[in-house]
Amino acid sequence: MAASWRSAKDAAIVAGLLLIPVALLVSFVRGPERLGPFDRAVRRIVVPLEAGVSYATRMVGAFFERWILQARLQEENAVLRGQVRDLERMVRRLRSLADENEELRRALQMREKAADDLLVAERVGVEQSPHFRVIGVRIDRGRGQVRPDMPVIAPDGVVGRIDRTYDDYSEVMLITDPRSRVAVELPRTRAQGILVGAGEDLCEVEVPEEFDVRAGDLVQTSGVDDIFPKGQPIGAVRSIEARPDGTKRLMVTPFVAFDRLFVMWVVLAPAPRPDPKAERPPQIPPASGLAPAR
Amino acid sequence: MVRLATFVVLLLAGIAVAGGLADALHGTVFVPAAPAILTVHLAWSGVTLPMGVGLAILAGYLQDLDSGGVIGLSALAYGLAFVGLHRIARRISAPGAVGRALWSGLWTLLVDVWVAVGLYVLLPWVRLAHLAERSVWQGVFWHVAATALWAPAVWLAADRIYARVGLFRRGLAVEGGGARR
Repeated sequence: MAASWRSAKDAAIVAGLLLIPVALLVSFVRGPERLGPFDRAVRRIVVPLEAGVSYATRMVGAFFERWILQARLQEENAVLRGQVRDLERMVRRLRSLADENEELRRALQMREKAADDLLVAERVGVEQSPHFRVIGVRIDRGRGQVRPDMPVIAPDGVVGRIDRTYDDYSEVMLITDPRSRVAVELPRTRAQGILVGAGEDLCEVEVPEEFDVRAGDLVQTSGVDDIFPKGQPIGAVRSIEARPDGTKRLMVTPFVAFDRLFVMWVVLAPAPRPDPKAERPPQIPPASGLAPAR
Repeated sequence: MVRLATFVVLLLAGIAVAGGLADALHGTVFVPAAPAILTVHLAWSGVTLPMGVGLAILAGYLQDLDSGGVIGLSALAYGLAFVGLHRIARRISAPGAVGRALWSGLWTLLVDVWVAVGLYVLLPWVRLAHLAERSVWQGVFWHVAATALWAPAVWLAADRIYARVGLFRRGLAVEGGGARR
């Protein structure tokens, strides 16, 4: 009797409990416009619960999202690192090509401006000092193309002269070589002298003390040695030292950066000097346009 | 009360983990029905029928809230299914991981089918039912498989936690502990 009573009580409770989801279902199925007081009460209870469950799901979802995202980011990071390496390599190559392009462009412009008979030459080797300064250059022009003592110039100024020639290449004696001699002048003061190499990236020249030489003055070839064409820039005066024998010793820094020199020109023959007896070309009268002739 | 709260917290945690996984992986992986596993576990833990039905309805209700579907549909499915499950649990034991996985999978299948049928019936009244009904049918296999796969682990974790807090064995009305041999 007691067991059956308990069973009936349980069944009643279960039926009552099952009515709750039915009520919820009916409340949900009805549209918001048909909500009764009971439905509104149900919704009022449901909304905060729903928000709580959604919040908890979102939080845990965000945790997993971060976790998965981190793994994905690590993979993406490895790929991007590889791409950065490739791009850096490409940038280095492009910079090198840009430098070479600039050098070639300047060399070409120089060739178009110069009246001398020039032969382009490319650097194929260098000789370095113990301090890694360039003290000698080899070019790709051999015995059949150039001869010793031919001047070598670059867009920035004088490089030196051909020292020795071989079958396929030649050695260039730089103007900084102690054996080098170049007839020079200072265009501002008209002072002249012989420029002698003074070792690494430096030359010196002696001029009479009456010339007012200042640091920064331009030094260029004077052409009196019949080797270097006149007016080629060499460098700038860096320091001046008065000497007891009535001269000034000028230290000159060359304009040419020998360590960044890749293309240069060998002067095969200087430009012919202007003939003073030659006839002047006839002057072309200025255009009168559409104005009436007078 | 504290023990009941523990059950609810476990339910919420299970729903949040499953829902979070589904969100993070865009629903493309096995996502278990954590409330289903906990409810099946409840049936074999010897809880009284009214208490079990009440908790099953609560589990279904929380599942409804999480899925954003028709409120009350899963709750009703869980509650009704628990009545049958409770009778089964009194006669058949669920030993070992395979048995637990099997029962959890079957339970999930039953609830999923009930929800899908319910959605189909409610289609004329519920605007979102059409899409939901479709997604239920498409995901039912994976849902069942994922639930079966996760069931032993969740079951074991629930055993440990319930033992620690003394849930059901002492706090709620117990009929004698699971299957009658």
